[in-house]
Amino acid sequence: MDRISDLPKDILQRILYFLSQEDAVRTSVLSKSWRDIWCTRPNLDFSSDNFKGQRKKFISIMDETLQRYYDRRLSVEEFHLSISLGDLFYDFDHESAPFLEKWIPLLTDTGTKKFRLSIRTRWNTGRVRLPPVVFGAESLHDLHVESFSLDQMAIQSIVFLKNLKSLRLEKVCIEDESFNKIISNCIFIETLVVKDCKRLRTIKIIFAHGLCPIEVHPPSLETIDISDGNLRFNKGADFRNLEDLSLCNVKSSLEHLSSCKFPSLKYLNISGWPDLKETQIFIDAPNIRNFDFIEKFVPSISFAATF
Amino acid sequence: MAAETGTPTTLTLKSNDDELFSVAESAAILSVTIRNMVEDGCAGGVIPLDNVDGKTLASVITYMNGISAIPADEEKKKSYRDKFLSDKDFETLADMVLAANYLNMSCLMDAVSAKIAQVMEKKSVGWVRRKFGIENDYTPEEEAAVKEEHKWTFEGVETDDDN
Repeated sequence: MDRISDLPKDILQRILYFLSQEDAVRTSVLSKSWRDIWCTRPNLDFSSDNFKGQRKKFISIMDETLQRYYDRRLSVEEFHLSISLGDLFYDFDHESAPFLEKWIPLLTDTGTKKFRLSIRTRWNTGRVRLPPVVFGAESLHDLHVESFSLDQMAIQSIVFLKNLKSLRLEKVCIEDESFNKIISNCIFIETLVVKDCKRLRTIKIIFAHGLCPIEVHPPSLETIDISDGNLRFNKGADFRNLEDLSLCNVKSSLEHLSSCKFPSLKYLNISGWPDLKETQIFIDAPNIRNFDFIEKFVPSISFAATF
Repeated sequence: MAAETGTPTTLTLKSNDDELFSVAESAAILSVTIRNMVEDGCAGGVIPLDNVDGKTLASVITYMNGISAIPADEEKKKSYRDKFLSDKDFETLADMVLAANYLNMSCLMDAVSAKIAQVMEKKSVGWVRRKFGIENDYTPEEEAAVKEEHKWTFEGVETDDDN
């Protein structure tokens, strides 16, 4: 037999682990000895984009695969699911998503440790509510939600997401109360990205467990209050509604901060930022009223001239 | 133990073709198999590694020394691994993945597996068969049936001639 086919099955599965779902499945055509190797690899990686509008095919393949792992008691250690609604699910039920309701509990039963879910719609923000089952998935490791409404109903069955390391909300219609509830249930988070979330007014986060890189740039934000995090300001971002910015033990690029616009900023509160020592920094906040700085040195910060 | 005596401990490893290699214990214990032997106190004399030949073991030791010299910086370690594997042909990679499996070195195992997988990425069945010399033992009917079953995986494949 040739060298690769002769490798032990667990090594071949490790090799297939690094392939996309379609590349891994296609190895079944190589020869008879390859036929079933992909069937038991410990990870699954499905993207609806690969099915180009064949909704039924996508659902049936997902169903079959998950059911097979479940029936054979195989564990799916890592599961990556990327779903784009709108082009695929034309008749997507606005109130629920039966397929996710079915798949997510199956994943939990097959012992998934790392669940990476990317779910987005092509619809306008707020038209489709995120199925509540998503925030009930304890194994969530990465969650990317785009163009959904994330209201109280969507998080009604939220569990403590102790595995969640990365949360990315883009064009999500979410209010402060729901956002705070989510954040308080994922305190081990390492990366938080909040982008274009129209209704979000306040971001208030205290991370008790290490530093979390946070990326914020929704123009709607009025308050940002972050303790213990690595904050990334996007270069040149315009925080046109931000009035209150409070950063405690936060690390951030000074260059990026200087390039941002804070036309409405009134209150700036900084503490525990030793990098500010012996540097000069400019903050474009022409309407600043109150600047509190708690450190053992006096910083050199200049503000934009008042309008 | 090194920490107690103040001098680095050296282990002697023996390949299955009787070559002897000296390696610092601190580097060798990247292998869980060797680490267990050290912890059980069975690493005093020569450690025989019955499933690894001299050529492969020399390469694995180069890797052990190289990677353990890099401080805890995952990016630097990754770029070392990429560079280390960049000039290896498939035969060597197959030897390495077997050795890494036997020695229980997950970082090397993953790096080599990923490297082999990379070769197969988006490639047609025919291309992968030729590349690795895999003999197609399906009858045409059987092959057609397997293909039909997984039809969705045949879109977006590169170098499609005979699939």
